[in-house]
Amino acid sequence: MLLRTIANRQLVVACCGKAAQAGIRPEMTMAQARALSAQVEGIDWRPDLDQKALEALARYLNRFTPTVALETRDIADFESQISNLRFQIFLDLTGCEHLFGGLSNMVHRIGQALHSLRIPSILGVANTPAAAYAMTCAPVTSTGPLQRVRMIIPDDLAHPPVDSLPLHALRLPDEILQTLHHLGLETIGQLCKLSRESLPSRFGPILLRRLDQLDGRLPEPLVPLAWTTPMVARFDFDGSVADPQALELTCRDLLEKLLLELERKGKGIRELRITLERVDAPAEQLTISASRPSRNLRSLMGLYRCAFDQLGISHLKSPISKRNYSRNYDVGFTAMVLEVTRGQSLAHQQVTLGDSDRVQCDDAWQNTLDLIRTRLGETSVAQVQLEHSYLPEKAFKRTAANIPEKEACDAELSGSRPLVLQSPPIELGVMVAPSHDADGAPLSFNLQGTSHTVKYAFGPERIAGQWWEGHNKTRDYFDVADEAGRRYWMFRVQETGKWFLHGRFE
Amino acid sequence: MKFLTVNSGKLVEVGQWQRETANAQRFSTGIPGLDELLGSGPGSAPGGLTRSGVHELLYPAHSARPMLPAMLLARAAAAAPLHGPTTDPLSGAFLAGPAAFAAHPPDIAEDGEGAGAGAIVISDSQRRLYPPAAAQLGIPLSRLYLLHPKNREEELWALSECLASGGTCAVMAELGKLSQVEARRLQLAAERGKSLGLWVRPAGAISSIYAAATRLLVEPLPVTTTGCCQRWTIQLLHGHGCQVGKSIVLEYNREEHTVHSTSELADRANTAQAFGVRAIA
Repeated sequence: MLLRTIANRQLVVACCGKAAQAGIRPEMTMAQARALSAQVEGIDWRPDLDQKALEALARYLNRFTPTVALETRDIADFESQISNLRFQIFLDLTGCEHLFGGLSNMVHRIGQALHSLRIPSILGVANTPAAAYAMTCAPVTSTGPLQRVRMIIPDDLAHPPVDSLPLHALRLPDEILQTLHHLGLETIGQLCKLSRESLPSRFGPILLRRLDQLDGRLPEPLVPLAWTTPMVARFDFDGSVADPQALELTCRDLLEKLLLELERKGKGIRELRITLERVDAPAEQLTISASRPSRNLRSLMGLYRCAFDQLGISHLKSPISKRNYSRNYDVGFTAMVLEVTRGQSLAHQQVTLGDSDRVQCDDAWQNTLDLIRTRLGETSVAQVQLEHSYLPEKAFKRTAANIPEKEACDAELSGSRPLVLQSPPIELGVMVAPSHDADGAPLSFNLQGTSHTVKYAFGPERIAGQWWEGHNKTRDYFDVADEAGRRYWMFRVQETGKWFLHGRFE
Repeated sequence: MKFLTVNSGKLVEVGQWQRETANAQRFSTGIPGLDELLGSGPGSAPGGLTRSGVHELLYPAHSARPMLPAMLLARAAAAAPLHGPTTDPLSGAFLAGPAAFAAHPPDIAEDGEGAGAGAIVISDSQRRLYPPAAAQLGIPLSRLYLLHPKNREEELWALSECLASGGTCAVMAELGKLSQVEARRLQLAAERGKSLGLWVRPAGAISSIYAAATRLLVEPLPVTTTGCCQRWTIQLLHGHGCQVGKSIVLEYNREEHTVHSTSELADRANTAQAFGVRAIA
C-alpha cells in the first residue's frame, strides 16, 4: 500500500488487489491496515513520481493523436479544491479516427495498449472533455474483454447519457458538492432540473460553467503536452570506417551542426547519444552527459573522446588485431548518428565586471567534473550532505556531485569528530578503570596486536541508538590519546560492555 | 582588481600579467609559524605555499597520517583570494569556536572581492574520510568533492585532470610510491591549472621520488599536560627560498577548535639523507 504522512499519521493512499481483499481501503490509517493484515507492506507515496509516470503515459499515447493533454485550462485553477479528481489524460481524437478504421476501433486500440501496459483505466468518449470525463464516472454494468480497461462509448456522442451520473463527475470543488449533497441533489439530471438563473447566485459561477462545458455551450480548451522535435544529425560513410580519428572528425562536424540549431533555439546539451551503426553487427552506443546545458564544442568533444576510449575500439585501427571478431566480420562502422536526448534552456549569463574569474573557474570545474564522470562513472565523484542523525555513521550521506538547488541541511555538529571514520567499527580489547557502575574510562587498549596506553580520555559522550530503525544500543564515546600523541575515537556499547574503535583523529 | 583600456574601439584587459604573477605567488597558510617557516627568514616578508604547485606532507612509518594539518592547508587555499596573496594574513587562532562552524559555514567564495573560489577535491578511494569532521574544521561542504577511484591508475588520472582544470583551489590525496613520470605529470598539471596539490605520503624510500615544491615532515607529539591539545612537529625538508631543516610545533585545541604554532627553530642536519629523498629538478 502507498502511504502518506499527515500530522504524524500515516494514511493509506492506494493499495494493491490483495490488500483490498483483506479489507484495506484508502484513507485508513496504517495501524488499521496492519490490524486487518499483518503482512501488508507500506511504501511512501511519491506524487511527483506519479506525475512523471502519467506524463510518460501521455507521451506514449501520442501515437494515437497529436493532441494529448493532462489537464484542461479550466481545471488547472481548481485542481487543489477537488479531492476526488482522478488521474486523467485527454486525447483529442478529432480527425484521427479514419486512420484506425473508425472511432470504435480506435478506442479499442487505445484500450488494448493500456491493457498491455497493465494499467487499470476507464475510457470515456464524448464530444466535449467535460462529458468524456463524466462518462468515466458511470457505474460498472459489465466487464469487457479487457479486464483492466473499461470503455464507455455512447451511441450519441453529442448527447451522452449523463443524467444518472453522480455530481462528482462534474469536477466541482468539494465545498459545492457538500452543499448539493446537503440539499438532496445527487445526480446531474436532478441538477439540470433546477432553474439556471438561480445557480450562480447560490453556488457561484463554477457550477453553471461546468454544466455549460458538459453540453458544449462553453469551450474547455485542452493544455496539450509540448512536443519537441528530436534533434538528430546523421552521417553515412562511404563504406566501412574504423579509424578513430575519422570518427572523431565526423562527430565534430555533426556536433557543430547540432550546436548551430541549439543556439537558434536557445538550448544546450545535457545528454547526447552517439550511435555508431554497423552492417552486420549491433550498433555501438555512447552516451555523454553534462551537469549543465552546454554548447561548448571543445568540452563536448572531450567528453566524446573519454566515452570513445571506454569502448576500447582503438585496436580496430589495425585489421590484424581484430582478435575479438571473425575474419568475415566487418569491424568498421557505416554511419554515425548524434541525437540530443536531453536538452535544456541555456540562459545567457550576465557576468559582473569583477566576477569573470570566478565564473571561468566554475565553468572549468564543471567541464572537468563531466569528464571524470564520463570516464570513471557517475559514482566516482560525490558531494556530501549532512543529515539529522545522532549516529555518526548516519550523520551524512554522499550525493551525486553537483545536484543543482540542493536542499541545505541545517544539522548541527556536536562534539569533536575524527577525520577518519572506521567502517565498520573494529572491536577492541580495553582495560578500564574500576568503577561501581562498570562505566569506567579506558586505561589501555589493544589495537591490531599493539598495546596502547591511554594518557588522556575525554568522555563519555553518550549517543543513544535510533530504536525506530532497529538500532537500540547506546554508545558511550571516548576521545582517547595514547602515549605517542595519537588520538582515537572509541565507544563502549552500554548494553554489552564491548569496546569498538570508530575513528582516528589523524 | 582589473585594469581596462580601450584599444581599437574594443575594451581590453591590461591586468592579465598581474594575475598570472599573483597566482605564482604565495598565499598564507593561516598559521603564522608555518608562514615564517616557509618564508625567507626572520624579519623578511612572511611566506606561504605557492598556489601553482604540489606540496607533500610526509609522516614516519607507524605514525598517524597528518590529515588534519593537510585539511588546514586546504582550507587556507580555499580562502585565499584568486588575485595575489593575502595582504592581511590570518592570525594563528583563525579557527573560531564550534559555534562559528554551522553545518554550512559561510561560503568563502561569497565573502566579496578577492575571496577564494574553486572546488576542494579529496581523493578518498577507501571512503574513510568523515565529512562532518571536515565541516567542523571549516571546509565548506558546498565546495567539497570526494573522488572514489577504483584503482591507482584512475586516481592519478583524475588527480591530474582536477589539477589541470583551473577550477580547483586544492586537491588532496594520499599517495604512495610515484614514478618520475607520474610525479612530474602531477606537478605540471598543478602548474598548468594554477592549483594546489597536497599529497600525504609516508616518509622513507617509498617517497624518495618526488616533484613537490615543498616537503614537510609531520610527526605527532605527546599530548600536553591538560590533554586537550593535539600536537605535531612540522619540519621543512624541502622548499625553495624557505628555511629548510627548521621546524615548528603545531597545536590544535580540540575543545576550542583553535590552532597555535610555536617556532622551534632547531636546525636538524642530515634529515634529508636520513629519509633517502631524491628530488626531481
